[in-house]
Amino acid sequence: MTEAPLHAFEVRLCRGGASRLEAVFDDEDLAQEAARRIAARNLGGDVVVAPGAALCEMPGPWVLAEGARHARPHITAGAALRGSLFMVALVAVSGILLL
Amino acid sequence: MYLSGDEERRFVIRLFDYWHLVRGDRPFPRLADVNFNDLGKDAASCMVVDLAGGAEQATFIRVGLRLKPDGWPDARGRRVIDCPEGSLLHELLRGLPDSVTRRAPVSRGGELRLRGRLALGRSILLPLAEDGVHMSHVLGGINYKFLEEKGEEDAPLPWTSAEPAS
Repeated sequence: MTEAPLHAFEVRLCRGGASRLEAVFDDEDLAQEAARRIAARNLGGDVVVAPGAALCEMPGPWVLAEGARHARPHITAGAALRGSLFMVALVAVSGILLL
Repeated sequence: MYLSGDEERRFVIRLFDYWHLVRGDRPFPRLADVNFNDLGKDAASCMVVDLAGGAEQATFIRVGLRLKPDGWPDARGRRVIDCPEGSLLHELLRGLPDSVTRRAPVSRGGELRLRGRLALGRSILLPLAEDGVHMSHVLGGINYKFLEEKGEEDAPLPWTSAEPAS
């Protein structure tokens, strides 16, 4: 429905030191409403809404048939910088070893 | 049991609430726990896929009348990967990998294009498990309205409670 990664809001039931994922919404209002309805069932514990990992954006389910189980990686600026520094260090070390 | 449109105007919340109700204390409800007659006219906007062959080989068990792509008089047994691009069913299944990976209900919304027209849609996919634990099926639903026409999502359909599960 959209080309951009979708923000996710996770609804979790927390009890006894553990939390169980109850649902994922890309809309906070819907997540809050789902949490409210779960809480109304008095399952025990706390029902919380927390920001979660972005929802995958895939062109269609048939991508799975081509063997791609996960959406294309979403590389953050920090990860890209770390990757670049690693490559620079690798080249430098290789150069030193060759000399 | 299933919320009416007066009790809850948002389709995905109605479906989520029902799923949560029939689930009970288990991680997931069974397919047999879902009575499509309970869903009223919302059943026409729902579908079920079978994950027996893995998500890559998922097949349709049931596709509601609102979701049937053109040229699919009987969707039962058809593969998910054959779902025509641009169909409402295709839009709904965009979230399937997420739901399978997260093993949880996943709802997403946004703009989509149907028959060349811009619409606003929202979907939800809900895991089902025959043993109550391991995902075996996914129940999904989607509704929409064309941006230039309000109220399309509630347009009457020739749906009856005796609709075959195709």
